[in-house]
Amino acid sequence: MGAVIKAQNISTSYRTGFGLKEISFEIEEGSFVCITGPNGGGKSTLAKVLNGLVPLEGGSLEVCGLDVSDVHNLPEIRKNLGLVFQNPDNQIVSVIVEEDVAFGPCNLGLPLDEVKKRTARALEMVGMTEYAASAVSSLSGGQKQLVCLAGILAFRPKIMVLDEITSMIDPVERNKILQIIKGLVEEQGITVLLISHRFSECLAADRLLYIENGSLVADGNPRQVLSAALNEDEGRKSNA
Amino acid sequence: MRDVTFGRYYPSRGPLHETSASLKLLFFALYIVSIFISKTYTGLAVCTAFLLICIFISRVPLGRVLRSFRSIIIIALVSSVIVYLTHPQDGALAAVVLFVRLISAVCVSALLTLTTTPSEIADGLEKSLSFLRFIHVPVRDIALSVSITLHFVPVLQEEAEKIYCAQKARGASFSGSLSHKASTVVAVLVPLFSSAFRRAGELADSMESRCYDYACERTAFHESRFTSYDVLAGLLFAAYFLFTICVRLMPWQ
Repeated sequence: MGAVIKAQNISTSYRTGFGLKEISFEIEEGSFVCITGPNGGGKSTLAKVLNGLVPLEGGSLEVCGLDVSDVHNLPEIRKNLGLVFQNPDNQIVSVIVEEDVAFGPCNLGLPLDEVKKRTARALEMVGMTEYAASAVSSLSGGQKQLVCLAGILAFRPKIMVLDEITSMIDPVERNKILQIIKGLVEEQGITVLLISHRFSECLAADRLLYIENGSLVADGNPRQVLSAALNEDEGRKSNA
Repeated sequence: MRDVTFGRYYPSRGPLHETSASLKLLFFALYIVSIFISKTYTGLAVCTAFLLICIFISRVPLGRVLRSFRSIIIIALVSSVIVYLTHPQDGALAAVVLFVRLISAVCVSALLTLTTTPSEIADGLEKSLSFLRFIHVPVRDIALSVSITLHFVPVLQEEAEKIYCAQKARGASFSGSLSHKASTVVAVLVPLFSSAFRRAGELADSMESRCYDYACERTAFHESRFTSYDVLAGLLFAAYFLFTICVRLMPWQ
């Protein structure tokens, strides 16, 4: 399997100051990669850069063989790379579950039958079929996040970037979402980049990228990267 | 804050829910016209009776609709008293007319949003105003903006409540004189606006990542098919509208 994301020395100076400094990595198709690191390190900026929401200032970035710097490629990139944010309330545009899931396919101008088929399938994939006609306001935080996941799955993307999607929900729903994510990777072959602070989620991934102060400081097996990061932190404390 | 029902959809399978959104928008506009052309007790009684029938057949609990005017009842009462005092002749009628108009307008807009989802309103607006595209009016963007505004009304209400509770927990006092209340409300408004702008930014990013700016004709999720409900609703509303015009033109009025 080839690389679906190729980043070569990518840099940004994002307006909030959480920029990226010459980061390089490749993500293989069908892999489950976790991105972690301290707050303000540039993880969310990286997610937005991958989707073309934040412009690159240096380096080159290819998603599914398409150059992200070329604005003409952005619609195709966004069809292939879905992005889910932390707070579901700030992503949901409709009051009814199926209407929100259908928002993306409707934007693509697909025939209504196809939109409905994709919406039904996406809701089925996240186990929310019975809530299709429900009001979003009646759902729990975890269920709202599943609606957001379904909204992206309705695009039938090859890659999904999930930016701290479990940070605002309880442990039971968090575990359910993690199982769904694993299912997407193993059964659907979707490449998943999960941004998270949680050890359990980092350890569930095949590979871990550790980003700090806009730089990629470690990349490899989750256990090794985490233990190296913890040892370094201990070392800093003992030196202080 | 909880009293505001505007923008809150009430899921149901009632006849008003099944009526086409474009038609409901037209009825909404014409109902507002009808209450403004009614200047007599008879006319106002007809308008109010029709609104109550609509609420009854909508299967939305009466309390949900009536709750919508709690927030403006003070404004309506004060305005009516001012009108009563400034109209030496027919002051009572003028005050009642103003009061009923304000309350009916709020109730009918609440009924519209309770029986129609924001996206149905957006689709309805887009279809109804599609002729404006010929003069390059961004109808689709306007319709979606209206839909998102309606969707975010309850979200921002909840946010305001949370900020209010947080500020109270930190010792802010929202009681006392009017000037004191005005100065302390800033403690709610500033974080509320800040939060609204942050939410708007995140929503814009989310919509952009979901190909909102994709250069093609957007698919309407709700099919515009006229059903038997639409025909029946059209006939009933036409009868009501003609009746209010007749009442207005009656020679003894």
